[in-house]
Amino acid sequence: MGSDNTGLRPAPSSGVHRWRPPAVASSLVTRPRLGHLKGFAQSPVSLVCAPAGYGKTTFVAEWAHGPDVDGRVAWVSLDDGHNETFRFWMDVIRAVASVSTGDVAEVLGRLRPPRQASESAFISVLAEAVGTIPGTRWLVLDDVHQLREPQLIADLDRMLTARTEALRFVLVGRTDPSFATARLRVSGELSEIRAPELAFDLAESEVLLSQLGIALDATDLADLQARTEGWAAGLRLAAVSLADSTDQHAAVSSFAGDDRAVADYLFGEVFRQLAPRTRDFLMATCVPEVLTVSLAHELSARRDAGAVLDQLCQANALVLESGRKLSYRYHGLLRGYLMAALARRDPEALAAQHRRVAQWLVDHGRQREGLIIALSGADAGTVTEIAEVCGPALILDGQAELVLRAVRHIDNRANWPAGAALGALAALAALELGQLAVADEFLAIARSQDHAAPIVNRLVGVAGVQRALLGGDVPAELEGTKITEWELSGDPDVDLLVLSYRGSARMRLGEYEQAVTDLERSLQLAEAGGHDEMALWILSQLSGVTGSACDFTAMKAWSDKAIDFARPRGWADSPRLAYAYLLAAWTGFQTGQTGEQKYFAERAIHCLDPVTNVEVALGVRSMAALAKFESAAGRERHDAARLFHELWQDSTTDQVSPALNSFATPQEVRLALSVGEHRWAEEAVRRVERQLPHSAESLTLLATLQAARGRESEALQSLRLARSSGVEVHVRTTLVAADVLAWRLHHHRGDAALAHQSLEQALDWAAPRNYRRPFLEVADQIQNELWAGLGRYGRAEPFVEHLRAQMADGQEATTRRMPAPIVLTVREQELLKDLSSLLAIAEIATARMISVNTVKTHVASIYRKLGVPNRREAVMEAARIGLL
Amino acid sequence: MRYLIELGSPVSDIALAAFPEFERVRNDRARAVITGPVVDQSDLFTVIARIQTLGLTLCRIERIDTADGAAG
Repeated sequence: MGSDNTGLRPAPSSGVHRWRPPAVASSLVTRPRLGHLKGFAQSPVSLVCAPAGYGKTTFVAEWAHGPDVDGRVAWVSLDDGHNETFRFWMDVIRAVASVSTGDVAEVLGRLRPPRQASESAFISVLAEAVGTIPGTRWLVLDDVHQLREPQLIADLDRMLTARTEALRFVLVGRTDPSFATARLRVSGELSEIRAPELAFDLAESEVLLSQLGIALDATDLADLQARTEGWAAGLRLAAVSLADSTDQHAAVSSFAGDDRAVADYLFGEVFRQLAPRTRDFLMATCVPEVLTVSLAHELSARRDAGAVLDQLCQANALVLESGRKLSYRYHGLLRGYLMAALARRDPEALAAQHRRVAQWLVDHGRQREGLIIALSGADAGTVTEIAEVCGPALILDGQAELVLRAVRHIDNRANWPAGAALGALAALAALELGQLAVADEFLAIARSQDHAAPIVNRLVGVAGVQRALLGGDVPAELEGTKITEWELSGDPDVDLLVLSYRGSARMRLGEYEQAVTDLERSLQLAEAGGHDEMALWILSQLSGVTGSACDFTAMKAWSDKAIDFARPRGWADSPRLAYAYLLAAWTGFQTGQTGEQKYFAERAIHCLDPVTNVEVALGVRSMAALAKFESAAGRERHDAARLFHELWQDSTTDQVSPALNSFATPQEVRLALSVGEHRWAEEAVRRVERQLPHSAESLTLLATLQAARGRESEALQSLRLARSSGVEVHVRTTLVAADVLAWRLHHHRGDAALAHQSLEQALDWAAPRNYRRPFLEVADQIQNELWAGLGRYGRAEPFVEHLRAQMADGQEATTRRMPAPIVLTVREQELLKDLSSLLAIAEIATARMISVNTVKTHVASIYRKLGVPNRREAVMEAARIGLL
Repeated sequence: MRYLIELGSPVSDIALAAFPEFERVRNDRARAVITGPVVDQSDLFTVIARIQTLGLTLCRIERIDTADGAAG
């Protein structure tokens, strides 16, 4: 509701729907000249802009109840709290839904705005939904001057730009909003009403005063009108003051002769005339913006608080019903004046009232409002107490910015040392906002203080773990905090933070079962507490953990669930969804559905935040490079392979989970070999030997490299080692890859029995899990053998049939989308470069200091591998697939 | 940061009490001038909001970090 309510009309009664225009009193001065203002609300955007008390809200409300538009105007009264993205858009959605019909209302009802203004596609989703409303609706945003968050204003600007016939905007405010209006004015799409148009002229002033029982002669009326400049609130206040005056003429003269600010003067007058008890009551209850009877009772210690408010409401219209049941609000100017009066009389009483209001709000479950009130005037001790108690819940509800502001407030203004709990909360809030440097600073403060209390200890610990997840030493953090040994604290918000970040951290160590247990438990807490954004993040994490544990069915189910959870809320671009998209892309990759792989890889990279969990960031970027490689040709394939390789040269790869490493590095090696970069492949193998020593992963990669160099027996030896007991297996898929490689090598050596044995081993695990990738990668080389063995695969038979169908189904397309790895030896790779030159075979032999026959043998091998008949086509094909 | 704020008419003591952290530099028939500390941008906005809420006229607002605050 507009705080510049002039008192000319009662506030909306509590029965009126919250999103509808406020009711207009029948006793209102009718102002026909305003009603005919040309084009009002016929433009895409209309602006009503004037200082407080000019009757802006009254004017727009009266228009909204007119016969032309009645029932089609949605209304949102803004306050400071609307600077939060979530609250602002939630109210806009609800308001627009309230004047929409069936389908549209339902679509709008499912949308959930982002908690922080970083999810840009939300506006497009909203604008699209709004655009489908049949006919025209209006949305009034009252008190737009309250909006000042730059990101929110930018979003609203985009919403105004995305205007449709379906929805027109009416912006009401004291000052020109800093968005869109200039551009709209130039393009003629803005209509405006300002103070001069709204000001009461002489005739209107006379009607207003006479309705309030004041009759002035022409001179006094003109004096009063001139002094107030037709300011509606001023006229109204003057009337209140004059009503009690014995000599109206003298009162008007003294008023007209005083050069203090009109509001200042008039409130002084009105206030002076109130009974002392009423004055005390008003001052004792001036801090809350909305005053319920029970809060008024609490603050004033008067049993008759309800009756006093009711009486004030009827008597002078400076106290208004607020629209909620049994609650009131003071006229904005009166409230400001009362707070100033209280500050003058007793500054400490003002701070004390802030404290009591803040506590009352917190006690009534309104933690956000409580902290805001505390910040606006309570002592540092109160802010500290509220921030400590409500901090975890506020961070989980996307109020990280508010928490950080509270801690800085305490730090800055009161010289109050931020203790361990506040430091940890500030660090968690900063991490939530992606401000790593700020987080480090507060984490250091938190750690430097004693924190014996178990809850505080947990907060400090979980902040450290979360910091490490965004780039740091996760095992050391887990070790140092002993977080894995913690029992639940019983505080659901703290437990939710602990379980979810601990689960994520455990994944990095390869403790997948415990990670799933933690995350499933935290998902319950997030759902029970209604922390939707956290729930989405946890769903994504669960998809990641189950994928790391090679449970691809569960992985797919969790990632589907995450995406389904996000979409109706308008969160398809949420950074919290990036991980789920990555795993959906991974599913597409491992089952050979390149289209899906590409689609989800692109979504994932699109959602990625600049500061994010190292595991997610590296996984998403690797997947994007891989998807690019699969769909590219020629130089671009080479670039994609280079990009993949470079991603894994970074030192942060030491921090990621063994699973991500185990899934990604074989692809790095495959890509490097397919574009003829043996050195990159070697570097990858050496790195994995260091990062995952004595593992099936490093041995299988070594075997891949050895096989590529034509050293088949060495490769088979490495594979035997990889399969031997005592070697660690980080992801079970590695053994499938190892078996498939062994099958290929045995087959190449003509050892049918061993080949079949390897194949059976591979199918044994892969078939029930529909894990197709390793088979698809060698399709060209061994598919005939695979078919020849049909009937001998037992339970894996349907899986092999499936593979066969996939490979046969558009053989050409499959080969193009998923090129079989054409792996040249180092020597062949060198000769390939010579082939693209103008040198004859004999000249090549001389230059390389080898015999002509050796050159011919290598060249024949190159032709065979590339599937080409001659030198010219070999060069063309090599260029196409990125080998040159 | 220190700011100087000029309000466009004499201001009553009660209205000035809304700015306890500011010092009164002058308050006469022409104008009221106050100076005081402002912590950051959001603090500055709350000061401006207080001026608006009291229905006062804001004539000038200026950062005066280097000055001694006696700009009137």
